[in-house]
Order: sequence, then structure tokens, then C-alpha cells
Amino acid sequence: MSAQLAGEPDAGSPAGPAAGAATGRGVGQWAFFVGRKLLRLVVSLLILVTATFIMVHLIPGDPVLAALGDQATPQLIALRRHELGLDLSLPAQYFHYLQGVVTGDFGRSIVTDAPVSQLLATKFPNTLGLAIPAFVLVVLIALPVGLLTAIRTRGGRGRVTRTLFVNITGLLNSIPDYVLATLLSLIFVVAIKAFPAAGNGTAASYVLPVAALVVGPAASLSRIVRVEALKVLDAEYIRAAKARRLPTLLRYWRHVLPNMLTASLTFGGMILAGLIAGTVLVENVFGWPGVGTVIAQAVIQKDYPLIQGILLVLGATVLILNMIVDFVLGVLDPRSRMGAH
Amino acid sequence: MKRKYLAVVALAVTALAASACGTTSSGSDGALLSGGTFTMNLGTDPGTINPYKTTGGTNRQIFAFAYDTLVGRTPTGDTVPQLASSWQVTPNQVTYTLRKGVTCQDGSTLTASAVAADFAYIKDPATLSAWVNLTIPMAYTATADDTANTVTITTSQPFGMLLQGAGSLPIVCPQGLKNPASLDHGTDGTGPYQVTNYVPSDHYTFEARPGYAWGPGGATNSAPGSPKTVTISFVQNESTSANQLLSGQINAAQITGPDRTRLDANPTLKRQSVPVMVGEMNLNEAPGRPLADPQVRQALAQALNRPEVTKVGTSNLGTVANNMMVEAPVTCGGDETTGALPQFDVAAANRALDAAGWAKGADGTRSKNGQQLAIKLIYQVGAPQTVSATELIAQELAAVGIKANLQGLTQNAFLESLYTTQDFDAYYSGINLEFPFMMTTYYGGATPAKGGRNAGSIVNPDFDSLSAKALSTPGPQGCDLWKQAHQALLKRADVIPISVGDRPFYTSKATLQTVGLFAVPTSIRLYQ
Repeated sequence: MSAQLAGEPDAGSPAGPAAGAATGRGVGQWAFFVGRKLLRLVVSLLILVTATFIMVHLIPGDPVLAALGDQATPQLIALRRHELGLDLSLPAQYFHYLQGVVTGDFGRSIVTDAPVSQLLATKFPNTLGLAIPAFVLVVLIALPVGLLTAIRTRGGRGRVTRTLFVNITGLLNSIPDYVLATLLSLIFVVAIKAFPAAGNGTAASYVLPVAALVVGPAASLSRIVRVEALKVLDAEYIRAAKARRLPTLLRYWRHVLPNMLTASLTFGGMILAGLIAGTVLVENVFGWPGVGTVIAQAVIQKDYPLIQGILLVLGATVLILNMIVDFVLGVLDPRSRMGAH
Repeated sequence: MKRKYLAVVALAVTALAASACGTTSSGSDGALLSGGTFTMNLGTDPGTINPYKTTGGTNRQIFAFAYDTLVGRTPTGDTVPQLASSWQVTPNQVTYTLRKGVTCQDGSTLTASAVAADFAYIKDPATLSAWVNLTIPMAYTATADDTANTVTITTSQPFGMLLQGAGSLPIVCPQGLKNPASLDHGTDGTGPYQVTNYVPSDHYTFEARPGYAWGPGGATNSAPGSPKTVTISFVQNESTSANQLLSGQINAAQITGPDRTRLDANPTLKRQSVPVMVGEMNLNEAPGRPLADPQVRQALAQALNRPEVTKVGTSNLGTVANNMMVEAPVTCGGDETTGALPQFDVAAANRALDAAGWAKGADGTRSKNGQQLAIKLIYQVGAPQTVSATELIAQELAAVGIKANLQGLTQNAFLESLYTTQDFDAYYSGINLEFPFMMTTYYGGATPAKGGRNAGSIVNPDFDSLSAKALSTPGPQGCDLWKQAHQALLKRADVIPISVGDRPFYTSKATLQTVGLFAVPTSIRLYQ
């Protein structure tokens, strides 16, 4: 893309129109692109809210009886169900919930009676506090590893390197994060006592959960980066840059890296979304006070408002992240705005 | 690369081996640590800790730190003074003389009127509490004399365990009673600790109340080794709690699953056993249900090899139940099952079902008048041993031609099946209660449809009449009658107690005692 922006030939791009009309058309394309993405987001969120509502109510059992204990009197149970609106019909409960979501009121936990929005406000940052550092590390590891491996193995060279890279990244990617989390706990918490077993009270408590989250995604992203880098390294404009005796580092920084980021960015966005939504098991292994721990408890206790609220926030985060990735791609590669891909 | 890889593997294996052996330790408790922080993990946030709104296990453990009772129980079963320094008991009346100088969290002195108000509150239809059935299961009045500092409970009929029953109600102070919402995640009691912080789904923090000196038998919260701060954290994953115990990050947790093996192997940890009924077959005798037929129930009981089910259901760590009450200290101990519960005898079970007209089909399942002898056996999911035990039970029942359809349910769904839909034929679980009179609502009286807890729709006139007599009889004679009442259930196979397991507390750099299912707050001691 940097080559295209510098005016060097790119066989794939169409010829540019006149400047003034191009600007107007460009703005129009952006407006249509953004509008389309936003509309898609709203519709997806509505489907998410509805699907979550239906799924949660399919879980068998009465959460009020479980929350109050089996000795609870029928009057108390009925009173609590009334307080929570659980004696209304399902459609009425749905519309009541939808109304609340629009105004930012996600209801109250059936078990703790705490406002769901308050729980989310305290727990979600803890989940982000795990997912974002993990993502940054994934990128910081995967980009150089993938690129260096591509340089080493391009043109059929470095077969041993290629074999080791493919097998090790394949193995690391196949280990479930909760298995890795448990193994890391046994070694570094129980045996060596180097890190805390649970909680997020100290900087040291971040090490093991983040490590458990990083390994698999870093392995899979580095494979994507290597594949993309191999394509770019073989491109004509890279050979031209090499022929012009551009310094190696500059060549990689200005020409290779930006052009291999498209697919990597897409995959990276998916990884971040996956990290945020998928920390449930790792949070449970490390007693991490994030939404993953809370939702595990909430599903067992059938705490409807809490489950719905958490799923809505996680789902919205994934959708928004995907939209941001689309926007960034739209900036980096205008063809994606026109639907050329 | 290969050498480095091997070195890493060797390190990991060595570390794992070291963790299995445990750390070295002299095994002694060490010096007491006074004024420290005691951290205990419990499973999930139970919601409200208002003692009059709930009687759930986790809730009771939490509010035990903040609320006292009129009398205490020792681990050996003796009744000792607590908020009441003395008492006078007659068949239908108990007068507690309150200890002087007992204060509430707001510093006010606890009065006899305040205690009487609690007893009135729990039975008021507007604020009816489950504690009514767990303390005084009959009509009563509560009166107070603030001058004499006495509270008198008078029952409509003689009640043999009135002293212990009424004496076990958690006492809430007046401000808390006026504002019950404040008790959902806060406390207002006379207990050794009070809640100072609560983070939903995360933890409660308690701080010791200065001057507290009226625990069971005069226990205090300032003895050498008593903690100043107590943190109760909610960590659902037992393996995580086990790791925290092994690394010294927490002081106590109740571990019931496979992690017990590695905790038992570690000499630095202490274990406090908590016996519990883990396996019991409770049967649904509602009209139209297969187990409404007494001959089918007898055959079912004869088909069960209780020692084998116990081995499987407790991972070989438990014992066969010989009493319907197993919570320590057992109020009325002794063997109730021998001579009462039908003995394991597959041949006799087959003969009985043959004689009752249940013919075996080609697949081995019996049927009669076109109806298959199939039962829906439900259980709570969670412990793998429970699944194995129910599978074994299904196999044993199949051997006599009873087809058991197993259904594992979450706690929510399980309780709904018992108390809302009553859609089950048998459930495998354990009912754990402190006193025998608490059992009467489970095996007699109203069904859940009519506000009761008799989920099995059991109508056993012998149990009902013997329970009624036992209810009014104190002491050893009362225990004798309770035994006969329980045996009336066992003879009819209304319930089949199978196995007693353990739900132990493991402690790290701490010790504690338990009474019933719960740790006693004033018994906690921390060590360096």
C-alpha cells in the first residue's frame, strides 16, 4: 500500500479519476461505507440481545428458589419473583429488558441484587486488563517472529526452520488456554511459588494468565504473518526497492510491513475480540475478578440479567472491534471500501 | 534448540514431581499470629446474607461471623451459654437469661425485647422466615422482661428440643430488623465480626469488633491467634482454591473434589473433617408414580448394594450411612438402619416384583398392565463421583428389572424439580440438618404445592405419630423416639440412606473448628 501511495505501479488498482470528482466520490464512498457498517452493527446488536434473552430463558431451573435456598417460603419466593419481574410473560420481560438496555439499565442480579451495570463497570475493566496486554504481546511476538521466519525461509530456503516453525506453532496453537493455565499454575504457583495463584492484586499476578492467553494466538498470528510476508517479499516493488539499494531496514519498515498488515490486521482484530470474549476459562483458573468468572457463576445460578448483560457487552465489544478493523482496513486499503475484496 | 527443549521438559517434570511430594515442613503449627488477616474461599457469591431471608449453606457460613445465637453447641454436642448466660426449661417453655453487656454493632446494648422481636419477626406472615421450621416447628409466643433481662418462648405444645431449637436462631439487632435491606450485604448483629466491605461476586471483608467476649462458652475474638480481619472470597474453581492453599495465599477453603488428594499429601496443611450425607435415595410416592407402590420400593431398596455405591460415590473415602443424621455432633446417634432398612438381596427383590405382577420383558425391564417399570432418577451435577454412583445404582436396579433414566441437573433445575414441578421418581442427594425435628417437613406434612417441603409426597402414619411424640420428648427418650420414627421411614423404604462422605476444610497456617457444616468464627487461629 505504501508503494501505491508513493505512485509506484500496482497492477491491481484502477486508474484514478479527475481530482475534484474523486474527492466528492471518495467522501460519498466513506459515508456509505460508514453508514452501512453502523447499520449492520445496530442490527447485529438487536439480534444478539434477542438471541441472548431466548437462550438464557431456555436454561432449566428457577434461579430465585436456588438463590433463596430450599427452605425459602413460597411467599418469599413469589415476592422475589415479582420484584424481579419474573412473574410477567416472556414477551413482556423481553420488551421490558429491551427498554432497559436502550436507557442503559441492564437490571439487577437475581443473586446479589447488585445493578448489572455496576458489576460490569467493576469487572469488565479487569477482563480488558488481561486481554489488552495479552493482545499487545501477541502482536509484539507474532510480527517479528513471522517476518523473520519468512525472510529465513523464502524461496524454499531454511527447510529445517520452516519445519520447526510450522510444528511448534501448530503444537502451541492446539493447546487449549485453560490447559496451559493449569500447567503454568502447577509449575509456577504450586511448585516454585513464584507467582500468586489467584486474584489481580499485584503486577506479578498478571504474568501467568497473560502468558496462558498469549501462547496460542501468538503462534497462529505468526503463521499468518509469515504467509503474508512471503507474498510481499516476492512482490515486484520489493525487488525494485532492493534494486534501488534501499537500506534493508528501511525496505522492510516502509514497504514490507505495511503491505503485509492487511490480513494480519484482520486476523489480529479477531484475536483481540476472541481474547476479550474468551478469557472465561483462564479467569476461572486464576480466580481473576473479570466478567469471565462472573458469567460462569451466573450461568450456573441462572442469573438472567447478569448473563444477558455480560453477553451483550462482550458481543457488542466484538462487533465494535470488527467494525474498527473494517474502518482501519478501509483507510489502509481503499479497495475494501468499494467491496473489491 | 533440542537441548534447550529437553532442559525445559526436565525442569517441568521435576517441578511437577516436587509439587506432588509437597514442601518440607516440621509439621508443627508454629507461633500464633494475633491480629492478622484470615482469608477463606467459599464457592460463589450467595447473594443476600440477611439471616432471616435465607438458610443456604454459604449464606450461613458468612453470617455466622456477624450473628450470635442464644446458646452455642460444642463440637462434642454440649449446649453452652452464648448470648444467654443461663436458662430454665419446661416441656413447653424456655426462659433465657441474657448475658449482661452484649452490644450490637452500633454500640447499643442488646435487650430482651430486641430478642423477642426477632422471634416475632420470623413468624410474622408479612416477614415469614424459613427459620421458623428450623427453630420452633409449632406455634409459639415470645415475651421479654427487660428488667430481669429474660426472654421467654412458650410453645403451643411440649417441644423436647426447645432449648436448642429456639437457641439456634441468629439474633439480629433492632436497627437491622427495622431496615432489612441493610442486611442484604451488610450486618447488624452482636457477633465477633462485622462487614466493612463487600464487592459483589468477589468478597466480603469483616473486621473484629472490639470488646467481644460472649462467644460460645465465653469465647472471644481477641484470643492469641485470633484474626483482626476476615476476608471471605468467592472462588468457584476448587483447583484454584487448592493452589491458593498450597501457595499460602489463603488460609482456608472447603475442598470436596479430586484436589483433596494433593492437599492430603501436603504436610503443611491441616484438615478439619465435616461429615455429610452425600448419597441418599429419596423417593416420590405421589399417586400414579411407580414408587407409590410399597412393593416396588422394597424391591428397589433390596436391589441396592449400599457398600458398593458408597465406594463409588465417595471415591472410597466414605462410609455406609447407618443413621439419617450425620452432621457432627450428631444429636441422636447410633445405628438406625440395621433391622429397619431392607437388606441387599437381589433374589428377594426379583421374587417380590414377580409376586407383584411385574413381568420381565425381553430387554430385562419389567412391566405390568402395559406400563414399564421405569423411574426418573435425578441428581445434581458437579461431583464426578455422583455421576458414577447414580450409574451404578441404575445398573443395580436394572438387575431386578427396574429401568432408571438418569438426569443430571444444575442446582437450579434440581430444586425446581423437587419443589416446583415435583417431576421425579427418585433423587440421589443428601439432606443434612442439625436436629431431627428439622426432618419432619421433608418426610411428612404438606407437599411443595401446598407450601411444604415434602417433595416425595410421603404419607407415613407411623413416622408422623412417632415424630409427634419425639417432638415433645426431651433427652435420651426423645432420641429413642426419633430413632423409631426414622426407622418407620426406612422399613417402608420411603428413604434409603446410603453413604456418608466428607466435605473438609483445609487450612494453611491456621486452624479452626466446625460445628455441623460450618466453621466456628471464634475458633479460628492464625499461625506465623
